[in-house]
Amino acid sequence: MQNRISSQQLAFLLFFLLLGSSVIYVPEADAGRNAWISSILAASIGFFILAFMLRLQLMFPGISIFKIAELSLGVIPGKLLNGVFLYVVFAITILSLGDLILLLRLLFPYAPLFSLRTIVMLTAAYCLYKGVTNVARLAEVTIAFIILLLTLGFLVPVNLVEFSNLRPVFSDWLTMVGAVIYGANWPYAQIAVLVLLLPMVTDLEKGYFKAVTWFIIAAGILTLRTLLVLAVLGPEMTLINAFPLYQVFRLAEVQTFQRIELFFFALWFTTVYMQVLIYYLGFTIGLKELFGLKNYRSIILPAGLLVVVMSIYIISSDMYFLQVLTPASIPHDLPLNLLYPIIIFAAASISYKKVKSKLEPSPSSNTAEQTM
Amino acid sequence: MLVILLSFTFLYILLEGRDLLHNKSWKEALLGAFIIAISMVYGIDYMRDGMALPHPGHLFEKLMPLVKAYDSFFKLPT
Repeated sequence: MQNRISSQQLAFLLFFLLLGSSVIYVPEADAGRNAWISSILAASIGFFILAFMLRLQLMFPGISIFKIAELSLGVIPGKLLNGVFLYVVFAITILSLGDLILLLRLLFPYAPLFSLRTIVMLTAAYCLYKGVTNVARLAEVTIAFIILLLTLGFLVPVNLVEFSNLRPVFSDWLTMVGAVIYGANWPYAQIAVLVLLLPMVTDLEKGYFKAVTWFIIAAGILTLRTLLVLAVLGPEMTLINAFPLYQVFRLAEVQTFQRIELFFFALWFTTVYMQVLIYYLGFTIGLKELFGLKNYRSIILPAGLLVVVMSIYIISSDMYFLQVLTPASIPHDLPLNLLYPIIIFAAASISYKKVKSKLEPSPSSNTAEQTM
Repeated sequence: MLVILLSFTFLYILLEGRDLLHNKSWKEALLGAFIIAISMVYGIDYMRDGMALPHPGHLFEKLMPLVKAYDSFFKLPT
């Protein structure tokens, strides 16, 4: 099992995580006409989190954040904080799986939920068994396909755009500011899980700017998506539709082609599946780091089983998922996704020398003999 | 649900059982077994329509008033 990735692969994983399930929704839809401005402001919060994550890893190259937390905060407080972060990663894995199942129900409305969840998690487990390097290669292989579909996706409904739906700009600044939190929580703060993969990046010092570049590209795409959906559907229809971007493609017409939205289903399925995969990977790596295991291979299937069972147990219906779990995930997930890297960074900065000395190997006891 | 529990457990034993015993990785085996045990307990509770176990969704429900207060303050549509 290979566990090394390049900074370019990390950047692609970050891109997929940002697009994830949020590309088909518009999390900031509550802001109405100004949702695209909320999207830009939410991206700045995500950039803030990314900056702390990268800076922390550059201070301690190759060292897991869980270990840094234990060394800088103390073993017990560090493990407690790591455990709480891992719980949030687990919760988001379940929510991501819920998003994917909701999307698949559009194509397979009569498929048993048990079967869909099991098939998704077993295929994800297979990907994890192949190793982190192969998961990253999967992202590399599919990125071109996704970029192509995104480009086509933004061009197809262009004739339906009405810029009057975007005016007046800055009309309701209070709702615009309030909706920033929705976008910040999903998808931007969810990049915090990548902090568990950063120790595996071989060339982070030289290549960290690639992650920054692809973050900006993803943020641009998400803002463009918001603009497109608002311009085509208008603020009211954007808010009431469960899948606004899907609705945009249902309205689009290209010659005599019908059901164009199904063509773009490949885009959405790929990005959401990659999000589930990355979170599943983060959860198993987190378990390995928290309990000090040699590798995470042996807990892939138990972790997958736990995610499937708990998603069935918790998500009792689509309405419960959309009306309770999704909005309540903001106070549940955002504080820790935002604060965890910051707290560890602050603690590690304060006790930098102490942590560095603990990480450095002790001098050999035979040096005196060697000099003789 | 029973099929899911049994199939995952069977796959785990098939793929990892031998290596765990051979390498004497008792920590990994114990953690794996513990996670499977939790899944089994929740799975059986689900099959029996019981609500005896802590429901993680209830934490989300308890946070809903905070979400509603936030939406109300920023005049966001609920």
